Amino acid sequence: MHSSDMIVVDRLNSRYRGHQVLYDVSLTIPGSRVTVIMGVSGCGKTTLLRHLVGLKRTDPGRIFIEGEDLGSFDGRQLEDYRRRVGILFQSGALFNSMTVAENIAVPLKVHTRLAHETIRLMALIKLNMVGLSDFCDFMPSQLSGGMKKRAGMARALAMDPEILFVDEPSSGLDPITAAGLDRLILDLREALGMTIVVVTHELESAFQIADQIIVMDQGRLLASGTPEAIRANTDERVVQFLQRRADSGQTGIENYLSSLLG
Amino acid sequence: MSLEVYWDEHRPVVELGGVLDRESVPGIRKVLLRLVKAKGIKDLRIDLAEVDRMDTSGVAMLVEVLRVLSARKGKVHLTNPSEAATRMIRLARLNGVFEQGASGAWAASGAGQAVRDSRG
Repeated sequence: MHSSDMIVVDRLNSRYRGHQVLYDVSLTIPGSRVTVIMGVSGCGKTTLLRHLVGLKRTDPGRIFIEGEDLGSFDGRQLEDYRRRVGILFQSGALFNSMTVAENIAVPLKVHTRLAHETIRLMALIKLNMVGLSDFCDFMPSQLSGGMKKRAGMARALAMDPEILFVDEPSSGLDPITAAGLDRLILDLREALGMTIVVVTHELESAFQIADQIIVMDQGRLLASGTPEAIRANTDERVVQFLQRRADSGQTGIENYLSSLLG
Repeated sequence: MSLEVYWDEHRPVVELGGVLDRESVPGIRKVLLRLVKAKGIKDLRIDLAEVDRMDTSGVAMLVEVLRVLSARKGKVHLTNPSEAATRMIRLARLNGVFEQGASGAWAASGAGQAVRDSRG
């Protein structure tokens, strides 16, 4: 482990009700860099993300955050860790009974001693960063899906986190708005030295923002490296993913025929 | 976090240093607001040369101070902003809002009395 590694994952396995979804995944996430985790739907990238943010229980000795074992954290340590991170979920996950600005203020009210007015201004600044400063008094139900995603991003940034985890930031966004979020991610890395982990399958965005790309497939790590190294990778599955080539339709054919024909 | 206040030709000058974040901002904010709400204060100079790190709460605090003075048609001058402070103000897209002055314009008198109000 290098001193600049913020997160180290060592042979992580994960299951949902006996069904294995991650197989011996090992990787490192460098500090103050943007790491993109890519792969086809169902490859395990969101499960990996859930482990990294402490939402899914991890066995001891599998994930280290600046050298400390996430799997061994007690309740207080886990809470301290979660205060250091910001998370943008795929759906935005806003509280429907609060305005957009109130949503962003929640973590600040709960975890800091900042004055009400300071918090209010911070919420406005964050909303401006994501292009929603005109919508601070709107309710989530009044927003489009893309706007909810951006509001969720503003809330993920509320505490100026050391580590930002983002799940599919560009999905549902038009190209111009998506480019704006890409730009924001790069600005955060530059201005605050933030460590950023982005889960996405949007190739253009990934290659625009990544310092490191991790490609996953069927619960396993397929490739890891700089964007240039990933482009040059000759693994068939990596190439298929980068070239956006559909599967032949023969994958899983035996199970399919078996279920049809008995 | 350190804060020092002195007077230069009847204008207050504040020197901030260290980390300006959600831990230090509540205390600094109280001092600054008490200062700018005092009668007769219109302009304030804030020197950010020694700020090592600043987060959004620091920017929000500066905006609050600006609002108080703007109501009296006054100004906030940010001088010698450190790289960390500059990056944060730009990230918040407020680099066009504050007056960024060269230190020479106010520091030239050099004869101002120092009123130390240090917070470590």
